This record gives sequence, structure tokens and C-alpha cells, in this order.
Amino acid sequence: MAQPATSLTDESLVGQPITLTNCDREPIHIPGAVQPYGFVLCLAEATKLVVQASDNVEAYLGISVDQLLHKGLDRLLGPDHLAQVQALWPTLGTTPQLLGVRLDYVKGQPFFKLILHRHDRLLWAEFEPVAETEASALDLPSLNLTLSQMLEAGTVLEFSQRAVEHVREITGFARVGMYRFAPDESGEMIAEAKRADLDPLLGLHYPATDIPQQARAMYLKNWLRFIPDVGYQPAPLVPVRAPGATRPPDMTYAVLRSVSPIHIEYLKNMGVAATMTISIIQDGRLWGMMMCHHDSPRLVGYELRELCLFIAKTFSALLPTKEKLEQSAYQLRMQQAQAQLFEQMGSHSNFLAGLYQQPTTLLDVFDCGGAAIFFEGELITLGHTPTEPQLRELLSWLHQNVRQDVFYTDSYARHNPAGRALRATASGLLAITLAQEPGDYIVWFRPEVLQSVAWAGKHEKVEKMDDGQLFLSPRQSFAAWSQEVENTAAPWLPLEVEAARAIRLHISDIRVKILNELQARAASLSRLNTELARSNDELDSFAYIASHDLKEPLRGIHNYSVFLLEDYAELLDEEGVSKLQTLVRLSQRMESLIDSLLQLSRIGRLDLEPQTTNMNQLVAEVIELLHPRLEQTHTTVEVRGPLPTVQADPTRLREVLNNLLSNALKYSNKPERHVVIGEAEAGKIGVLGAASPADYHVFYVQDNGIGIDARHHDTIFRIFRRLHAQDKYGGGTGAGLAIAKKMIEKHGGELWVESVLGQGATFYFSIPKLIQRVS
Amino acid sequence: MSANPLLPVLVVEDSAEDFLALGRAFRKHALPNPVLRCADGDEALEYLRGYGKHPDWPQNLPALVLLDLNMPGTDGRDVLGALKLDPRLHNIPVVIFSTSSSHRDIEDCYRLGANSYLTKPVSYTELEEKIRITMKYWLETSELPALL
Repeated sequence: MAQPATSLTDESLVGQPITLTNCDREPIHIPGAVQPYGFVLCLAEATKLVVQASDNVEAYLGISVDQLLHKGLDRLLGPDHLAQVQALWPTLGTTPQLLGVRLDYVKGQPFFKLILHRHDRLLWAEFEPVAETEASALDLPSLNLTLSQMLEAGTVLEFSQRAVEHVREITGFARVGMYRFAPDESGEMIAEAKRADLDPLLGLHYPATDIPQQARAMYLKNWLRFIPDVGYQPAPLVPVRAPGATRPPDMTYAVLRSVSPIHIEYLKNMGVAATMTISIIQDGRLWGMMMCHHDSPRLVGYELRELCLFIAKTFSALLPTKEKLEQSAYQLRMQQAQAQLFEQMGSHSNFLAGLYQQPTTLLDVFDCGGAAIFFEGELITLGHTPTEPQLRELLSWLHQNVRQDVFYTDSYARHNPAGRALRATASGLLAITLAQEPGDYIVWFRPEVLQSVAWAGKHEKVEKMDDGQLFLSPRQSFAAWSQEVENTAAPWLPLEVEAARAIRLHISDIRVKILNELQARAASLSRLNTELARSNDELDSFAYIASHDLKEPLRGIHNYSVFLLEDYAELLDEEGVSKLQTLVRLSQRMESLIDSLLQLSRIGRLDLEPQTTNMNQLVAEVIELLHPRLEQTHTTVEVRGPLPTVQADPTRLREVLNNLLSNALKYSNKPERHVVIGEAEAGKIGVLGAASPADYHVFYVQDNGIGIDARHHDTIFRIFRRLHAQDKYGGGTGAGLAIAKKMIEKHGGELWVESVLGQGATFYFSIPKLIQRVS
Repeated sequence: MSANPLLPVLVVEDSAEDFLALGRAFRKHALPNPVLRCADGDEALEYLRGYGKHPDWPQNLPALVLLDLNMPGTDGRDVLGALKLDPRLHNIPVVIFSTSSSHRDIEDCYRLGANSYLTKPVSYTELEEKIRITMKYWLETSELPALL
């Protein structure tokens, strides 16, 4: 990039090698000629005698240069004006001083504006003729109105518009525009007042090279440049070098300075015949220029030019206030959008949704083309963004190369050449990481500047210059600039970066809050777990108490009853013996109840050992085991096979089948008992019917016994719930079905019954095809 | 036939009622061996470890230890572990005699080196039968190691 204009001095430019463009080496401050709308006399500082004069002096005064050299101003001025000038000599510096003078010793005694300044060891006397009709430039009421409007303006654009309108009004230029420099020194026409028939230049961008470095340096010193007729013939200084000087004098502060032929060419290309440009300077930096153009030659009097300069300086002075105002307005807008976003995030169950699902989105926070949210592998895009695969690549690049929490660039391609492919939407990036999670980002995108601005001179033809390469036409300068800005977006402002940082912090706060909530929930879960574990432990110790501590006294009661019966039977009558026998029987029954309870409590904590189990084989084993009882009870068992192979704990399944089969032959009053074991037809669903029947094997054990009333279909599975007196149907503790049910449930299946009282019962149990461990 | 005719049988049992039932069963089957009882684990260990160390102390190791598991203080598991780790005592057959039918208890005891595990039945008839079989097996059928 170019060095800042302020670091260049006129002298250092002489003979400097080419940097950016060819014209950069032209020493424009020492042209050795003036524009011919006036003439100049250069006086030696010490002698106050003319050492150089522009050769057009003769045309104005009828006096040749030779006749003026080595003469004082007394050659032209009468004693009154001479005294005025002499009074000014000691105070004179680079700031021009104006005097209205009559040239008493010139034929016709013409009036001239005499503009005086001191520079480069010379006293400069520049003479501009005064038109007879020239009215006073200063229209105070109008100026007052303009200044009021400028003061009221809320934005820089509005402010600029007021200024250019007024300048056009007072000068009558066909076009007056405000030209603002970007940090890269390219320019944009941000305000314009023009004659209706002219094409607008508003919004056009101009490359930095359109205004060479040394010109910028000069513009900081000489606020106003004026060319009343671009078709002028320069009037050379005679002699070109003052005696003893090695170069022409420095005309930086000279009003009549002749300008670069390249600049003239440029203006001609634009169809401009007269121009006045006034610098807008802020903090010693060239902020912009007020450009006045006319399509025919136009002479503006010195006083009017001074008035325009006054307006431009007032503009410069007020500019920081306006920019600050504008910045605070933008900041306010950002803060409002931000606050809105934060509120949305807070009120949304999923805080991220608050960033893109509501009326205010990430796109509203600052000027950008698009945005993307990468969160836990998910990708959400807003506005204009690269494609998803491109975004994924961008994400991995960020992940690998960026260590900062907030990363921004106006040219991603400068960091990663692959970024060139994204230039249309994502030349500029502003990325924030989302808290600790690696790979979680919010990224804002800005398109390439090239794509977002209109180009001045873009459609103009290349002008072939007389001496070829040395000169740049606007078209060529555009080409040079477009290369520079390729892959580059509008830069991110510090306040935008700060806003992004604030959003990041807020999200991270929210996530910390969510994390805290999760942790609190986890803590309460773990408390619950601890409580559960404790109650499990208590159940364990209950089981132990049941098996040991309760049984010990029970055993004592039993034993002592037996001892009594054995040792003292002859002392007791029949009734006493019978009661003791009942005591023994009850203690035995109590023992089996305790054992059942213990068994049931153990099933829950038992780990299943599922294995591939052939049901044909398992059923055969159970039948074999029960064979004696089957014979005793005249029971036939029919197995409707073949049965499938299941994943189950065979020991538990054997117990279940044993229980169901035992029940089948117990609860019957028929002389011939018949039991059928088989697999239920497809689609048989248990009472809960939770999962798809296709996921289960369902088996049944069907008897022709006493059946069960529908109202008891639930109760029979509850522990110790019996439907019959203990001495009927072979007794039992009433825990068998409860235990069997729990075993099946442990497998993830169901055990249920279908029965009508008096018509036998069918017990079904389901086993999942894919065993899941139910804990 | 009987290799250890008069060595004592040591019963470690905290419950007087259970010991009474055991004694009744022993008498029923006319066990010839003397029966000693320790009422808790500490007593049992003191007795077994102190054997022969003093003239007043018992001079014979028991032929068999019937050991209850759940006792106050030093319980049966501790006694079993200590016995099986003691080079002078680890050869004595230990028969666990416990109310617990818990798989964990049973496995723990065998791992610690128990020689047999009996659960105490509530029914005295069953108890008698278990004691008869156990005594016949350990004191008549089996060859026991020579104990000093």
C-alpha cells in the first residue's frame, strides 16, 4: 500500500523512483509555468526586486518581462498601494494575503487582485484581473442559512450534501461533488449537486492512483486549486530558474501554479473544462475534496474562491462532530440490534434460535452480506454466504489456523489462497468462537468491494497518450486499482469488532448459565442416584435380615415346638399336641414366605446371563424335570413345535416355564389334564403393547384347568396374592407368578394371562428378539 | 475305621438356641467326639491359636470346625479367613453352618477356603438329617490330615 501522504515532502519527490504509477514521479510543485488567467512576479526576499516573471505579463500590461526584471513593485504601483504592500512584507508567510490594487504606472491604470505569499526564498506577487461587473461574493444571509443547515445535518452524507449544494449555488459550477477517501486512499463521490442534464457521479468509486501521492501531499498545504480553463497555454516563468537556483521555484502555495498535463488529460477525458478543488482536511489527513467541475471554461473570482475555502474549512472543522454523531448512530443501531438479539436468546429455549429465527437476526447487528452459525456440527446460514461445502472448508481452516477468540480480515484470500473462490460473498470475515467448544463459530461475511461498488471510468475507452506508457487514463487507473482491491471487502470497524466480541461474551455467558443449570440437574440426578443406591442397599439388607435375622428366631420357635413334641408328648393331651403341630406347620410356612420374598427381591438385582437358547430343548428339560408330578396328576403336555431359538438367560427361563407348567397342573379339577406349550401367532401383543410385535417372540402355556376370572388377571401376579385357600390346589406361597413375571420383565418382555373362569387359562410371555438389558 | 475317634468337634455359634438344636442332633446320633462351643469369632480364634501354648490350655486341635457366619464382632468370614491363612490351622476342615442361602455368601466362603457349606433349615428334622450326614462324612468317611 502507499505510504501516508503526510509523510511525503515535495523535495523528496524529485527524482524518486516509480512506486505506484508513472506519474508519481512528476514534480508537480515546480512546473516553472503559471496558468494564464493572471500573471506572477517573483521577488527576491532580500532585495524585493523582481527576479522572475511569467511571460504573459506583457499581454496584461504591455510591459515585457525584461523591462520588469530587477525592478521593484514601484514600477507598477503608486505610493499608496506600494505602502500597503510594504507594510505586509514582514508578516508574510505561506498563507496568501489579498490586496485590491490599481496599477497606477500601467497604461489604463487597470485594477487587479494582488495575492501575496512568501515561499522558497521568494516573495510571490500574483495578479488576477478584476472584472468590472464582479459583485461582492459575500451574501451573508445565504451563508448563514447554509451554515445552519450544515450544523443541523445528522449524517456525514447529509452534511456533505448541504455543503456541495451551497457551493454550487454561489459558484454556478455545473457539478459540485464531495469526494471522500477510504483508508486505502481510493475515493467515493458521496454527495453531489449538479445541473440536471449531467450524468450523476454520485456513488462512483475512484482508484487511489487517480490522485498521485505528491498531489495529495500538496493538497494538504494548498487547500484550493483552481483551473478556469483546462485548455490553457501555460505561461512559463522567465527565467525558469531564479539566479543561483538549481530548479524552478516551488509553487506549492501559488494560486496560478500550472498543473500536470496528466491531470489536464484526465479532466479532458471526463469532459471537464474548468475545475476547482478544495481539500477537506481532518487531523492533518486528507479526508476528501470538494470538487467543482464545469463543462466550459469558468472564471471564479478570488474572493468567491476564498468564500468556498471558508465553507470547506468550516466543513473540515465540523466533520469530526458529524462523524462521531454518525458513528454513535451506527453504534446505537448495533447496540439496539444486539440488545434485541440478547433478549431473543434469553427468551428462547434454544438460545441459538434467538440469533436467526426472530425478526432481528445476526445480519442486523452490523453491515454485512451474510452470516453463518456453526454449532455442534450443525450449520445455519443467513443472507448471502458461500455454499455449504465451502463453509465447511472455511470452518476447518479457522479451526486449524485461528487461535484468537475473535478473528477478522477484510481479505480472507490474503490468508488462504483458497479463499479466492469465496470472494463474491466472503472476501471479508469476522469470526467469533463460541466459548470453549472447538469448531463452534459465528461468522459474518462481507462481499468483495469490487462487486459492491460502481466504478468510475469502467466503461471508458483506453486513451492512447501521445507518448504512450507514461500517462494513465482513467480506464487504466481503474485496472490498476481493481487488482489491488480484488478479494478485499470493506474493512471491519473497531466498534464492529467490539460488538462481535460482546456477542461472543454474551453467548459464552449464556452457555455458562446453561452449563450451570445442567450441572445442577446432574447434581440432583446424582443425589437421586445416591438415594436410589441407598434404598437398593436397604433392600439388600432387608433381604439379608429376612434370610437371617428373621429366620433365626423362627427356627428357635420351630425347634422348641419340635422338642416339646418329642420330649413332652406324653404330658400333653391330643389337643395340645395338635396345637403344637400347627405351630410347627405355621413356622414352616413362614419360612417359605420369607424365602419367596427373598427370591423376589433378588431377581431385580440379578444380572441376566443371556445366551442363545433353544426353546425346544429348554421346554423338554422342564417337562422332564416335572415328569413324576405330570404322571401323578395324569397330565399330558403337548409341545407345538418347532419352537425358535431366543436370546435369554436359560436358568431364569427354566424357572418361568417350571412355574407356569406347575401352575397348569396344579390348578385343575379335571381327571385328565392337558397342557399345550407353543409359540403364539404373529402379532400377539402383551397388555402394555409398547413395542412392535415383530420385535418379540411370544410363547404360551395353555391348560384346561379351572381358569381365572377376568377381575383377577392382574392380582394373580402380585406377591402373596392367592385366589384359593392354602390347602386347596396344593398350596404354595403365592409368589411364583410374581417371580416369573419379574424374570420376564427383566428380559424386557411381558407375562400376561388370557382366561375365562372355568375354561382353562393361557399364560403368554414375550421375549425380545434383541435382548436389552433392563436395569 | 474312624481315624479321629476322640478329637473334639468345635462349634462356633452365637445363638444358644441353635447350639441347643445342634447338640440335640449330635446326641441323637450319639456323636462320640467331645463337642466344644465358642460363642463368637474372637473366642474361637483365641482358642485355636492358643492351642498347646500353655499347659492349662487345650492340647488337641479339633477334628472339625462347624462355623456360623453371622455373629456379633468378629464374624464367621473373618474366622474362616484367619484359619485358612494360619499355617498351623489351615488344614482343619471348616464346615460353614449358616442361615444365609445367598449366592454371594456361599461363593465368598468357598473362595476363603471353606470345606463345606450348609444352610440351617428351619425344620429340625432336616437339621438332624444334615448333621447326621455331615458328621458321618467328615468323621467317619473322610481321611483327615494328621494334626499336631
